[in-house]
Amino acid sequence: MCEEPMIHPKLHKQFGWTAFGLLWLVAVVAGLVVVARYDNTAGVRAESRGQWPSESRLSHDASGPTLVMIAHPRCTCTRASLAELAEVMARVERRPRAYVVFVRPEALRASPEASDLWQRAAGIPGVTVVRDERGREAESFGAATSGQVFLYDAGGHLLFSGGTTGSRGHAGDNAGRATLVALLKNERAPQHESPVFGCSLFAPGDRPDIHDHDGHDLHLN
Amino acid sequence: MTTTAMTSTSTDATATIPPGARRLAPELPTADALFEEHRREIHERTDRLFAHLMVAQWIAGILFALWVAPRTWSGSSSQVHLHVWAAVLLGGAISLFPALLALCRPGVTSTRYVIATAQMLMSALLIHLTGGRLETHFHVFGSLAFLAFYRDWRVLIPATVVVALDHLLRGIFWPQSVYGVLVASEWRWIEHAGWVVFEDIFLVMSCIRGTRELRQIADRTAVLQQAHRDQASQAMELGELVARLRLTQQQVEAATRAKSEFLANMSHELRTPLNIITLYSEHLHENAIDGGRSDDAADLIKIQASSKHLLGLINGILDLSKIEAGKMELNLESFEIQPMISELIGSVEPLVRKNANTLSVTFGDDLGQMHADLTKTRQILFNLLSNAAKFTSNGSVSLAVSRRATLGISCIEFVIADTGIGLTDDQQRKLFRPFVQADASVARKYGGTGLGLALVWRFCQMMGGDVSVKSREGAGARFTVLLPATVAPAPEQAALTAA
Repeated sequence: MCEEPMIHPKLHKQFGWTAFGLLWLVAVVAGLVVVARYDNTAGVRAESRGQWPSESRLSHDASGPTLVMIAHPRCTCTRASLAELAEVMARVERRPRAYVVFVRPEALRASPEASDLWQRAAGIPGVTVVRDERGREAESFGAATSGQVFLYDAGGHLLFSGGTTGSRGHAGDNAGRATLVALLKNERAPQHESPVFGCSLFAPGDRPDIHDHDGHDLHLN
Repeated sequence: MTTTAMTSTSTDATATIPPGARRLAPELPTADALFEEHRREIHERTDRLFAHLMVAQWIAGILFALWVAPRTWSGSSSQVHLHVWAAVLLGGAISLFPALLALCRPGVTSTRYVIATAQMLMSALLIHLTGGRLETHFHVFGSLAFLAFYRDWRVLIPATVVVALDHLLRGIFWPQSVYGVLVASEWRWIEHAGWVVFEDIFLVMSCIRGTRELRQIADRTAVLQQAHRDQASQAMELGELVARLRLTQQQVEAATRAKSEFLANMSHELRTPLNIITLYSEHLHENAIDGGRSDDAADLIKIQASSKHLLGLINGILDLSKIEAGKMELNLESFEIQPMISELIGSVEPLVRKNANTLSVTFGDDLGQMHADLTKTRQILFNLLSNAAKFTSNGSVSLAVSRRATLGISCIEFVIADTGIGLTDDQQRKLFRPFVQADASVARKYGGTGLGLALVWRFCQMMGGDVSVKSREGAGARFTVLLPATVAPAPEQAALTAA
């Protein structure tokens, strides 16, 4: 005749709340980790091309550095990349020749010029905004992620390849911006690459053929 | 009859006690209990505020995510941005559990700790959603200040721990997202947490000060409540005292009425045989004179004098009893003042001359008529003049009559002055009380019943007038009677007297 020990209903309820609270805390922390991982997961790196691509129709500056940023016109993370580019351009005394190339995927109906990113980019002093139909220009530089920046010297050698933000859509101090500023000031840069955070420029299996010159349209602003 | 009256009065006395005065039994809350109650109210109120804030933040987060980053792109294809899902699902999870606790378990310690934790987690989410904007970091500091509304500095601990842990873990795993560099010092999180602790210091001080003030308020409230209770208790005692006094007053009035009725009856019963004695003694006195029995005549004169004195005394008692029993009525009539005075002087003059006094009468202009009780007016003046004559020897007695306006009412003023023995202050204070004379020696030397002036005062009051005296011992006395020229019937008399 064993009697089961009685648990006071109040204690029972208290235990329920505590257990639920712990579960809640674990779930919320897990959710925040997922969001943080997403924000801090870099996009696909650019294919390494050490020289100014011969297929590019952009004009390379033979007297100084040339900066090219490849962007997706609808990528919200690229707002921060453009803000950081503006910061870079403002910090250096001698501005490089700079292009922001907006890729227009073939299936994207809306014109890049209509996006707020285009307006932002056009507002940065010293920047030429370019529409890249079907992304052939981006492909020629080997870019895969919106916000990708390339910096070439006067001889066409690649000085820097990477992003200008520390995480997705996250403006503020970051290694990519610091490297760019250092290189443009002819200072010693700690590294020549940085991760790029942004949307994919191309859907899988949708990369253009850069040797197909039909329809390789480049529109300068 | 008396028993019934007393029972009725006793009921009245109970009803007079202030309502609620007997409901003082429950114990007053102590200062500690008041303090705890106020603190619980603050905690519950702040819980509710945070519940609303949580839901508002959740909705704001969703709207912001939809506005800033609705979709993420891959070439020409897009899907809902993870931030939107995070705002909806994660924001909901962060907000709803503490909001639920605030509704189901308001005021409980664990509820506000969960709210503090959730608020900081919400800060982390909002910072994510806004792309780590510096401005959004103020949400952390604002939330800490809001948490101080609880006036419980311990709530700041979990909040600060969440912020510190957030920076520590991000610093370890994603240093660039927090510090802007690829490799950061492993202690850099302390700098960020330090600024939070910096704010905490002031908030903790504010909480401690707020709690101290709360304590002081509770102490003062307890003292005030005790004072109110004491006051209520005193009011109850006062009410009971008033009720008892009222009862006593009613008993005294009932006894006075009974006494007056008894005296009136007795006076009536005494006066009848006394009148017979007086009449028979007068008749016998005439017979004794006719029969030449001078000794008998002298004795019968004494019997007559004593009978008349006794009759006067009984008449006075009868009048006073009638007044006290409320049975004395005014017989108002209009009469010329001067003839009334002249007639009165005729009967008073022998009394004045008896003590070798002189009598002078002065009439003011335009005396005319007055509308009053003629008999009582005459008796007032007779009593005062006979008193003046009685207490003055080889001196003078005067009567001055004039018409004047008092408080807009036309009045007749009678001033009776003498050069007699006068009155001390103590005697003046007791002068108009019934059966009171200056002292026992006065009664022996001058005779009298002590009723004359009491009746004067009562008659004056009945007619809406007043009588006053000014005197010094050995320097005579001056009585002033002021009566309305037109005495109002009974109900109005009281109003005139009050005015």
